[in-house]
Amino acid sequence: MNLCIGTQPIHSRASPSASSLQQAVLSDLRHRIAAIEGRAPRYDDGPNRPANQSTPAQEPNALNWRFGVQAIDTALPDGRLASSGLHDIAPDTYGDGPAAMGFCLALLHRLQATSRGSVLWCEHTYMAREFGALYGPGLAALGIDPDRLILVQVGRDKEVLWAMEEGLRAATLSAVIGEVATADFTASRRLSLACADSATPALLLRHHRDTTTSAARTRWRVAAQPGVAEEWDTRAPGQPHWFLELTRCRGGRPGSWHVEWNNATGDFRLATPLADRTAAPQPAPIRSWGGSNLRQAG
Amino acid sequence: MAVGQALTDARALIPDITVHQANPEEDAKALKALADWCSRYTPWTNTDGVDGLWLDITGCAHLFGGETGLVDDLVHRLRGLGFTAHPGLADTAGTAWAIARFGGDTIAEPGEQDLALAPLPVDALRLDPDSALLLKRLGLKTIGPLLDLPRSTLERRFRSPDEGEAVLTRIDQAIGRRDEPLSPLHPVPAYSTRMALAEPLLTAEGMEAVLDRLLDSLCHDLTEAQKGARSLTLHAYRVDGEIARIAIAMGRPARDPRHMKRLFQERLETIDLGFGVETALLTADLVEPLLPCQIALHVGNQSGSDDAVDQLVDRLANRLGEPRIQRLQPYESHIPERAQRHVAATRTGAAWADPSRPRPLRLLDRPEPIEVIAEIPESPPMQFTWRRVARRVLRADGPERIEPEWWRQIGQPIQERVRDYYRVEDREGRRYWLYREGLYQDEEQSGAPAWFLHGVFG
Repeated sequence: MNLCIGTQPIHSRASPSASSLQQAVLSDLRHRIAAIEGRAPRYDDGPNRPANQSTPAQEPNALNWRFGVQAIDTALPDGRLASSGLHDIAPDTYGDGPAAMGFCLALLHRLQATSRGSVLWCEHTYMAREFGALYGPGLAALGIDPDRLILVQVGRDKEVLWAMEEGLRAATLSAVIGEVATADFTASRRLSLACADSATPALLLRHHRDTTTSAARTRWRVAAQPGVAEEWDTRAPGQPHWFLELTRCRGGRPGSWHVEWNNATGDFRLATPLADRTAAPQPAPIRSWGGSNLRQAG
Repeated sequence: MAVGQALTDARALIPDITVHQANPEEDAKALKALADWCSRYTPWTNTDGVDGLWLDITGCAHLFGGETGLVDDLVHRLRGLGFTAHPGLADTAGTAWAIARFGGDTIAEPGEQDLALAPLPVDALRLDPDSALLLKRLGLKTIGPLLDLPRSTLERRFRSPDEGEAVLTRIDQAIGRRDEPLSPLHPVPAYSTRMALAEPLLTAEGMEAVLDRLLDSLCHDLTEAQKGARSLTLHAYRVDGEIARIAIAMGRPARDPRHMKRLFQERLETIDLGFGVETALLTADLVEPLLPCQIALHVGNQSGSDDAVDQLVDRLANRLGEPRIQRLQPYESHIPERAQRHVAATRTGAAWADPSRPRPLRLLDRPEPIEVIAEIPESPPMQFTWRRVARRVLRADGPERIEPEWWRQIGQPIQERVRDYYRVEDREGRRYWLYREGLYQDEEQSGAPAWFLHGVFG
């Protein structure tokens, strides 16, 4: 699409009437672009903002799907994850597969605080081979009722994507989750359109090597991080720590955070370096995070 | 020429006769296919011997313009397929068999089996050859005189009472004094609707329209009877005598035509219509009671959506196969791999308790052996090697001791050993669920303990 905008600067020395006209044009354009991008318009200071124009981000049934961490929420459009959009989650390395899944379940846990319904989980057999099959008692321990999970076990990406789309089109589920080795742009576009049509969120767990472009609203990379000891037993592992990297976010700001997930309360928390200093010396993270100033955290 | 004639005799009569090897198996197969094809008239069909078919047309004749119309249609269509047919129609299977093979009026009047049978030879009673020969020797060449004989006198003529009884049974069956059960080729569906098409149908769109009408009519019948179908089959009878079938299955009894159509629609494109379809038949093969239920007034995100979820499960199951759509269900067992079961996705309502002990998100089907460096006798590992990668353990929690279920091992040669589970975190923050099988104290009795990795945490 070619969008042509006049090159005249906004603060031009034109007459007041011309300036207000220009403002109106700009405001209109902003709304149109926002509508195309599926978000609320920003920098809207137009005096005659169109009242009847519906903005997709302000749909009445948008769920309050937040991290509960201000730093992350402010990076997202409207301060929340789009509840009618596709979200990509990929592990940083092969061994981070379970961490990516843990993050995915954490998001599901946060979502289910606001909506209750069945969840379709399309399991790829390669994940079962690598890390085992989904385990009900473990999900229950995480606060997710396994009875609400409909499991689909398939061995091909095509089938996973088909099942996900079918689940989204049913418009009766509270979320759809799928594990794929790779999904091309067309597939992710189809899924995100189905998400938008049915106002159902979808989470796509990708392979760590999958670098294809995606039409997802947000794209996350997850790496496990050494956590801190449990409060009452310093030898026992405490809450899981993840390094989250928001690599792509439509209408938001990409960023990276080191978070701690609390299974019991279902809360995220930024793992601040100071709070995590315990008496025992912490080993330095082995992998380096280019450009991140949080590498000493944890 | 006649059946059973020697080939040389036939050659003497017609020198340039074409000879083919007999292939009884293929013949039987073809006959079976033909019996199948006859299900366009009635569901109650089967083969009879090596060269016959029978159809129970009770309640079906009016669809084809009466008995005469049905017989004419059948013979005409069979001729079209390249078969010469000798029809016989009567109240009893025995009389119909006799007419088909030994002539006479094609259709016996209701209740007048004896009249139809009277002029036919005694062989027409399906007797074994010895009995038939004996009757002929006694001068009873046709059935008429045989029927006039008193039963007791007739029975005494035979060598054994069994033989006499067999002959009387055949007579009774042909006349209709005794019931003769016949089994159909396929189980007879409880509900079915059919549609004959004036012109052969060639397109999938046309089939869709036909399917709509059939589904509406079938679902109407099901609603009247307060039943729901679990599986449906669409039979498309093609002009060339073949039958194309597509079947769908549903997790719960249903009678919503829209839902059923969506399930059919996926397969409808794959159906081979050949040179056209002349009759379509929709059968409900598995039917269960389904009481009418009130439609929810408030359609929220969870209430009233059970049906929608069931329909989704059906769509997935029909495409991917039913065993692949599952739900998890808890099972009363302390052994981790036995604590959950995969059940059909329609079975909901299992109550999961929050486990008091840590449990992994993913559990390996088969625990994988690992090499471990750990203090003896009882302490968590300091380092372990899984899939050829050494991992330093930073923190560990445990042990959680899980004893084997002794009541399952009575009389079994291989005894399970006690397991000590540890939750460990390595230097990279990844969390694993490990266990040691066996105790160092019992090393002499049950061998050295072994370490396994059983699952991963998020």
